[in-house]
Amino acid sequence: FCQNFRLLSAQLSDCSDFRIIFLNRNLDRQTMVVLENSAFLTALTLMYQKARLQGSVRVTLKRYDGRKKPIPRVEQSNKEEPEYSCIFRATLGSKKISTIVTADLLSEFQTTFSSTIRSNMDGLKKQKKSKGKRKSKAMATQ
Amino acid sequence: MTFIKSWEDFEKAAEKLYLANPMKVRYTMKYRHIDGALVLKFTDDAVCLQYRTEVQQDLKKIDRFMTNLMRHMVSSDK
Repeated sequence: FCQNFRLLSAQLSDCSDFRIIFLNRNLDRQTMVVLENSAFLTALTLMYQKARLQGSVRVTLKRYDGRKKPIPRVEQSNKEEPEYSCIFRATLGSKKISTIVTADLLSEFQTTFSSTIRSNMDGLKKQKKSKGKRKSKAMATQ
Repeated sequence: MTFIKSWEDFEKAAEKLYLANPMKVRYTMKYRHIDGALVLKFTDDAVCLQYRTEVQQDLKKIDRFMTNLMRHMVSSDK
Protein backbone atom coordinates (compact mmCIF):
# COMPACT_ATOMS: atom_id res chain seq x y z
CA PHE A 1 0.00 0.00 0.00
CA CYS A 2 2.82 2.42 0.90
CA GLN A 3 4.48 1.77 -2.43
CA ASN A 4 1.33 2.65 -4.32
CA PHE A 5 1.05 5.76 -2.23
CA ARG A 6 4.49 6.94 -3.26
CA LEU A 7 3.83 6.19 -6.91
CA LEU A 8 0.64 8.17 -6.78
CA SER A 9 2.29 11.13 -5.12
CA ALA A 10 4.97 11.10 -7.82
CA GLN A 11 2.35 11.20 -10.54
CA LEU A 12 0.20 13.95 -9.14
CA SER A 13 0.97 17.61 -8.91
CA ASP A 14 -2.30 18.95 -7.55
CA CYS A 15 -2.81 18.52 -3.80
CA SER A 16 -6.62 18.10 -3.83
CA ASP A 17 -6.58 15.27 -6.41
CA PHE A 18 -4.05 13.48 -4.29
CA ARG A 19 -6.37 13.36 -1.32
CA ILE A 20 -9.35 12.15 -3.37
CA ILE A 21 -7.40 9.29 -4.90
CA PHE A 22 -6.05 8.32 -1.52
CA LEU A 23 -9.59 8.04 -0.17
CA ASN A 24 -10.78 6.07 -3.19
CA ARG A 25 -8.01 3.51 -2.87
CA ASN A 26 -9.01 2.98 0.72
CA LEU A 27 -12.63 2.39 -0.23
CA ASP A 28 -11.73 0.11 -3.15
CA ARG A 29 -11.69 -2.92 -0.93
CA GLN A 30 -14.75 -2.14 1.11
CA THR A 31 -17.32 -1.05 -1.45
CA MET A 32 -19.49 -3.39 -3.42
CA VAL A 33 -18.55 -3.57 -7.08
CA VAL A 34 -21.53 -4.14 -9.36
CA LEU A 35 -20.58 -5.91 -12.57
CA GLU A 36 -22.11 -7.24 -15.76
CA ASN A 37 -22.96 -10.95 -15.75
CA SER A 38 -19.90 -12.10 -17.69
CA ALA A 39 -17.55 -9.79 -15.78
CA PHE A 40 -18.96 -11.13 -12.54
CA LEU A 41 -18.25 -14.71 -13.58
CA THR A 42 -14.65 -13.97 -14.53
CA ALA A 43 -14.11 -12.05 -11.30
CA LEU A 44 -15.63 -14.97 -9.40
CA THR A 45 -13.21 -17.39 -11.05
CA LEU A 46 -10.33 -15.12 -10.03
CA MET A 47 -11.62 -15.11 -6.48
CA TYR A 48 -11.71 -18.88 -6.32
CA GLN A 49 -8.18 -19.09 -7.67
CA LYS A 50 -6.97 -16.50 -5.20
CA ALA A 51 -8.57 -18.34 -2.30
CA ARG A 52 -6.84 -21.63 -2.98
CA LEU A 53 -4.25 -21.06 -0.29
CA GLN A 54 -6.09 -18.85 2.15
CA GLY A 55 -9.55 -17.58 2.84
CA SER A 56 -13.05 -18.51 1.82
CA VAL A 57 -15.30 -17.47 -1.04
CA ARG A 58 -18.93 -16.82 -0.23
CA VAL A 59 -21.56 -16.73 -2.96
CA THR A 60 -25.01 -15.42 -2.06
CA LEU A 61 -28.20 -15.59 -4.08
CA LYS A 62 -31.38 -13.65 -3.47
CA ARG A 63 -34.51 -12.62 -5.29
CA TYR A 64 -34.76 -8.99 -6.34
CA ASP A 65 -37.88 -7.12 -7.36
CA GLY A 66 -36.08 -4.26 -9.07
CA ARG A 67 -36.81 -1.61 -6.51
CA LYS A 68 -34.58 1.43 -6.41
CA LYS A 69 -36.43 3.52 -3.86
CA PRO A 70 -37.29 2.59 -0.31
CA ILE A 71 -40.78 1.25 0.28
CA PRO A 72 -42.97 3.98 1.78
CA ARG A 73 -44.87 3.12 4.96
CA VAL A 74 -48.16 4.34 3.54
CA GLU A 75 -49.08 1.79 0.89
CA GLN A 76 -49.63 3.40 -2.47
CA SER A 77 -52.44 2.26 -4.70
CA ASN A 78 -50.35 2.03 -7.87
CA LYS A 79 -48.71 -1.32 -7.24
CA GLU A 80 -47.11 -2.57 -10.42
CA GLU A 81 -46.29 -6.17 -11.13
CA PRO A 82 -42.57 -6.28 -10.33
CA GLU A 83 -40.06 -7.84 -12.70
CA TYR A 84 -38.17 -10.33 -10.63
CA SER A 85 -34.49 -10.97 -11.07
CA CYS A 86 -31.68 -12.57 -9.09
CA ILE A 87 -28.92 -10.82 -7.25
CA PHE A 88 -25.70 -12.75 -7.01
CA ARG A 89 -23.05 -11.57 -4.62
CA ALA A 90 -19.59 -12.95 -4.04
CA THR A 91 -17.10 -11.99 -1.41
CA LEU A 92 -13.50 -12.81 -0.59
CA GLY A 93 -12.20 -11.12 2.53
CA SER A 94 -13.25 -7.52 2.11
CA LYS A 95 -13.48 -7.64 -1.67
CA LYS A 96 -17.09 -7.74 -2.82
CA ILE A 97 -18.67 -8.16 -6.24
CA SER A 98 -22.24 -8.50 -7.34
CA THR A 99 -24.44 -8.81 -10.38
CA ILE A 100 -28.11 -8.76 -11.25
CA VAL A 101 -29.46 -11.48 -13.52
CA THR A 102 -32.80 -10.86 -15.19
CA ALA A 103 -35.14 -13.54 -16.50
CA ASP A 104 -34.04 -13.36 -20.13
CA LEU A 105 -30.34 -13.70 -19.28
CA LEU A 106 -30.85 -16.39 -16.68
CA SER A 107 -30.37 -19.61 -18.64
CA GLU A 108 -27.20 -18.31 -20.26
CA PHE A 109 -25.81 -17.13 -16.94
CA GLN A 110 -26.84 -20.29 -15.18
CA THR A 111 -24.95 -22.66 -17.50
CA THR A 112 -21.75 -20.63 -17.24
CA PHE A 113 -22.22 -20.21 -13.51
CA SER A 114 -22.67 -23.90 -12.82
CA SER A 115 -19.61 -24.81 -14.91
CA THR A 116 -17.60 -22.13 -13.06
CA ILE A 117 -18.74 -23.48 -9.72
CA ARG A 118 -18.00 -27.08 -10.59
CA SER A 119 -14.57 -26.43 -12.00
CA ASN A 120 -13.48 -24.20 -9.16
CA MET A 121 -14.81 -26.06 -6.15
CA ASP A 122 -12.73 -29.12 -6.84
CA GLY A 123 -11.03 -29.46 -3.48
CA LEU A 124 -13.79 -31.73 -2.21
CA LYS A 125 -13.13 -35.41 -1.62
CA LYS A 126 -14.15 -37.96 -4.21
CA GLN A 127 -16.01 -40.96 -2.85
CA LYS A 128 -15.70 -44.45 -4.25
CA LYS A 129 -18.17 -46.08 -1.89
CA SER A 130 -20.03 -48.29 -4.39
CA LYS A 131 -16.87 -49.89 -5.69
CA GLY A 132 -15.63 -50.42 -2.13
CA LYS A 133 -18.91 -52.05 -1.08
CA ARG A 134 -18.85 -54.47 -3.99
CA LYS A 135 -15.28 -55.37 -3.23
CA SER A 136 -15.98 -55.87 0.47
CA LYS A 137 -19.08 -57.98 -0.35
CA ALA A 138 -17.02 -60.11 -2.70
CA MET A 139 -14.40 -60.51 -0.01
CA ALA A 140 -17.03 -61.45 2.57
CA THR A 141 -18.61 -64.13 0.40
CA GLN A 142 -15.21 -65.64 -0.31
CA MET B 1 -25.99 -23.86 14.42
CA THR B 2 -28.74 -25.79 12.74
CA PHE B 3 -26.74 -28.21 10.58
CA ILE B 4 -28.90 -30.66 8.72
CA LYS B 5 -27.44 -34.11 8.21
CA SER B 6 -29.06 -35.27 5.00
CA TRP B 7 -29.29 -33.45 1.71
CA GLU B 8 -32.93 -34.43 1.08
CA ASP B 9 -34.01 -32.92 4.39
CA PHE B 10 -32.15 -29.74 3.66
CA GLU B 11 -33.66 -29.45 0.22
CA LYS B 12 -37.21 -30.03 1.44
CA ALA B 13 -36.90 -27.60 4.33
CA ALA B 14 -35.34 -25.00 2.04
CA GLU B 15 -38.12 -25.27 -0.50
CA LYS B 16 -40.71 -24.93 2.23
CA LEU B 17 -38.97 -21.85 3.60
CA TYR B 18 -38.70 -20.26 0.19
CA LEU B 19 -42.35 -20.77 -0.71
CA ALA B 20 -43.40 -19.19 2.57
CA ASN B 21 -41.53 -15.95 1.88
CA PRO B 22 -39.75 -15.76 -1.48
CA MET B 23 -38.61 -12.16 -1.16
CA LYS B 24 -37.01 -12.53 2.22
CA VAL B 25 -34.94 -15.70 1.90
CA ARG B 26 -31.32 -15.77 0.83
CA TYR B 27 -29.05 -18.63 -0.05
CA THR B 28 -25.32 -18.60 0.71
CA MET B 29 -22.47 -20.93 -0.20
CA LYS B 30 -19.15 -20.68 1.58
CA TYR B 31 -16.28 -22.55 0.05
CA ARG B 32 -12.91 -23.09 1.70
CA HIS B 33 -10.40 -24.77 -0.52
CA ILE B 34 -7.82 -25.30 2.24
CA ASP B 35 -10.32 -27.22 4.36
CA GLY B 36 -11.96 -28.80 1.34
CA ALA B 37 -15.37 -27.89 2.76
CA LEU B 38 -18.53 -26.31 1.45
CA VAL B 39 -21.18 -24.88 3.77
CA LEU B 40 -24.62 -23.97 2.47
CA LYS B 41 -26.96 -21.69 4.36
CA PHE B 42 -30.57 -20.96 3.62
CA THR B 43 -32.24 -18.38 5.83
CA ASP B 44 -35.12 -15.97 6.13
CA ASP B 45 -33.51 -14.24 9.09
CA ALA B 46 -35.72 -16.16 11.49
CA VAL B 47 -35.07 -19.76 10.56
CA CYS B 48 -31.61 -20.86 9.45
CA LEU B 49 -30.86 -24.11 7.66
CA GLN B 50 -27.30 -25.23 7.11
CA TYR B 51 -25.67 -28.08 5.30
CA ARG B 52 -22.00 -28.93 5.29
CA THR B 53 -20.27 -31.15 2.79
CA GLU B 54 -16.79 -32.33 1.92
CA VAL B 55 -17.61 -34.64 -0.96
CA GLN B 56 -17.54 -34.06 -4.66
CA GLN B 57 -20.80 -35.96 -5.22
CA ASP B 58 -22.89 -33.32 -3.51
CA LEU B 59 -21.86 -30.67 -6.01
CA LYS B 60 -24.17 -32.06 -8.64
CA LYS B 61 -27.12 -32.01 -6.25
CA ILE B 62 -26.24 -28.51 -5.10
CA ASP B 63 -25.99 -27.34 -8.68
CA ARG B 64 -29.41 -28.76 -9.49
CA PHE B 65 -30.86 -27.17 -6.37
CA MET B 66 -29.40 -23.78 -7.26
CA THR B 67 -30.75 -23.94 -10.79
CA ASN B 68 -34.17 -24.75 -9.47
CA LEU B 69 -33.96 -21.91 -6.99
CA MET B 70 -32.85 -19.40 -9.63
CA ARG B 71 -35.70 -20.36 -11.91
CA HIS B 72 -38.22 -19.95 -9.10
CA MET B 73 -36.83 -16.57 -8.19
CA VAL B 74 -36.96 -15.16 -11.67
CA SER B 75 -40.40 -16.41 -12.55
CA SER B 76 -43.37 -14.40 -11.38
CA ASP B 77 -45.19 -17.22 -9.68
CA LYS B 78 -45.93 -16.88 -5.99
